[in-house]
Amino acid sequence: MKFSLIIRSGLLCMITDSCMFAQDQAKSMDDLLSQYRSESDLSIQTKQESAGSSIIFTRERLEKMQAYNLRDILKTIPWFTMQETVSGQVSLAMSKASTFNSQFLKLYINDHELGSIGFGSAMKMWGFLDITYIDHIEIYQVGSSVMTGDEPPGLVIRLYTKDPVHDEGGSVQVMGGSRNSNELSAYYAHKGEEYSSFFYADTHTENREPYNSNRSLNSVDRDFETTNFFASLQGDDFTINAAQFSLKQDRFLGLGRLHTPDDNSADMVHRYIIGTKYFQDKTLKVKIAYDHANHKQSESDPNGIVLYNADGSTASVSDWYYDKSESILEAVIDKQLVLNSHDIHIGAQSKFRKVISNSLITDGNERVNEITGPTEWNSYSLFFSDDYTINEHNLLFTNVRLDHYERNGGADDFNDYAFRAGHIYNNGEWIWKTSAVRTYGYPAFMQTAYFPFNNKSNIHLKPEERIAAVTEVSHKSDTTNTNVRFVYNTAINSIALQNNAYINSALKPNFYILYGAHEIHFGSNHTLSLSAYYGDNDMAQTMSSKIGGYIQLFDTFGKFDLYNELLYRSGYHYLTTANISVNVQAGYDYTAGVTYHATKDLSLFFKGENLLNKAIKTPYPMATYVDYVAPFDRTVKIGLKYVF
Amino acid sequence: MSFKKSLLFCQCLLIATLTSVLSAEITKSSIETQIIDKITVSMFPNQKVTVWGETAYHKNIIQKSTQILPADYSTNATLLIVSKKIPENIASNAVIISTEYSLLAKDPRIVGAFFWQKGRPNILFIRKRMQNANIVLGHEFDKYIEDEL
Repeated sequence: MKFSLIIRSGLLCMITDSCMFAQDQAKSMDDLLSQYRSESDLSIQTKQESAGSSIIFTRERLEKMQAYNLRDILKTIPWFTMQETVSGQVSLAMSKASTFNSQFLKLYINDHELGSIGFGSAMKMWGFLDITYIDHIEIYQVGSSVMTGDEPPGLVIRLYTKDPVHDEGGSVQVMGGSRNSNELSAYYAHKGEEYSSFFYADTHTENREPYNSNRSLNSVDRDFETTNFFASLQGDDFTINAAQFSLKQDRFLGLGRLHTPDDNSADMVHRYIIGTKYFQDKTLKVKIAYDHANHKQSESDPNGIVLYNADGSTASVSDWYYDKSESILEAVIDKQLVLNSHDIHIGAQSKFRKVISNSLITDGNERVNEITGPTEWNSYSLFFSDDYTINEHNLLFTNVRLDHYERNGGADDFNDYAFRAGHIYNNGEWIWKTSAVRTYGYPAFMQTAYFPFNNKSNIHLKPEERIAAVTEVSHKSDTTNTNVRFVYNTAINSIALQNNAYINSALKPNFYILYGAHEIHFGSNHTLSLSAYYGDNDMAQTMSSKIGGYIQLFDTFGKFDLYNELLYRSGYHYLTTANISVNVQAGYDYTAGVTYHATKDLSLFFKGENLLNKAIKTPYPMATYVDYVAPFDRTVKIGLKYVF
Repeated sequence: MSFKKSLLFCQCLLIATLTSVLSAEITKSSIETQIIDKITVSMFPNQKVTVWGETAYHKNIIQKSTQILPADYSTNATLLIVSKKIPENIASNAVIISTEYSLLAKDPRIVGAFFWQKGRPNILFIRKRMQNANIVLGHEFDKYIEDEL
């Protein structure tokens, strides 16, 4: 109760503080330029109202939040709790449910999906992405337009890189932090008469608090290092993007029977190149993309790692090493037709996905030849979308996507589809959106193909069917934005782990989520943003937070930008199948930052993350014990940014 | 306990809604037009000058203004806004501004520019070029005037 009073007092202080500056409305040239910058945010150009229920992080918002890593954004997504898996991947748990099925999280950079057929989602490595080169972020929580992406999604995160037209010039940013963590990034943008280009490089080392259990004398590390290179070249009718993102990380607790790793690590790299050409006054788009990734993962645990053999029996090993590559070749053609009140997209896509296992060694024995099952997922798709403007205020949208998959290695080919329809009423002040989507998620390599691993694969897994519906009302005034949403979704044949084996679950969970958000602008210098949700389902266990929200306060005082964020996730309790009690305390993640704009071109910044050291923890239950570790440590960062 | 904590967010939403009623309004209009208006009014106080724009984007900004008059032809404009090149036929005393930094750097006839660079909109005037064009800006613009590029 005492703690809640402190929070309550803090809230009132923050609001009162903002009110004091509400009348600061003098329209100097600086004010006009600041307002112009806000209103010119590229998110206004890329956001598609009919694409789904969204949350937008504008460039200005990202800068004031001092969001340097994708994890800073993921942790704030309503009705999800950001977690990390035992192997160190970033994951999300939907309200009340266990860790989110990663196939339904899709990550895009500039309209290109960063997929992994081996793991099933970009979170294999891209959850640790540095985002200094990102202009703005759109998050679609109940699926987005099925034609905009490559594969039928659930939660869609779209990142857009900085635009050389707005960002001509260069930037260097250097940052140091707790435990000798450091980051250096730089970009250079050139705007020419015919071509514009953008180059970016980043190197980041994050040293995190090691975890100590009473089962081992060894601390468990979970540090990570990333390097990122990105380049783009664009003209009037084409764009070329190329990137390389590398991640070296400790695989945290790992796959071991007792979670007592000696040395767990992953060394991964993902490269891609995309060419997009526009024809016929930009109404015809042709895109060709190639991705190649390599994942080297090794684990060592003296208490044993229990692996499945091909015949379903198990054996314990001390060392496990797996080196695999993945490639994706994609071609898309998309034609836009504007016919009277219809804005139609019709197109086709082919995608050739392949996994190549280079080596799999356990206790010194090469076992790559044991691997069986599908290694290719080739798909051929047709899509159609229509945004039909009924009148000035009403729009109907329909998206249909038909997919045919061909797999090798004894796995069945299959057909599936995604369908989405909805209505938007928008009078400029009020928006009412209602939509329903039927989509699916197909099993990935690690769930289908056999390789010596601690989970048992299943070549007969069927795609998981997902149905969702959302209705939301938004109100916008010159000084406020308000949004209320009600979401329902369900899964049929959901792909789940049961006793370490992948199955299509016979259960059909029904999820309900109520979400509200309100934002108030007190002049151009002070903004208060509030968000809260309550999520429930008809399943017996509560395996993640049911209630959550945040309070964010953005202030500008002269040359200082201040940021305060309090992120809340409710506590929960459940019993595992081994009758182990999992008890997670409520989380209060307080983050604060200050940026000092010494000159127009030089900024100094200071940021503290999880300052109360009460961020929600992720439980890691095993047969006889539970480890609880928060994905965020208490951390401070200091740095400077110079633009030229 | 968790229910009480969740109530905090509801209370916060209520307080925030009430306080929002007190906050001031921001007028709706084209910000680009307001910026161009402010520059023009400072350059030509107490005059309603004719302004010519090179592109559809410029013409749109000019047409939304109540402070300036759109010019159909570059020859009879007092102020010209350009981004690609300066037209051949212009009045001898016409003042030229640009929305491209590269053009400001390239053509000394341009006295100033309003452009995007380094991720932000910028305003920049060159003192010597202003003197040559007999242009004086109000003190509010002092921070946007530089001796050279």
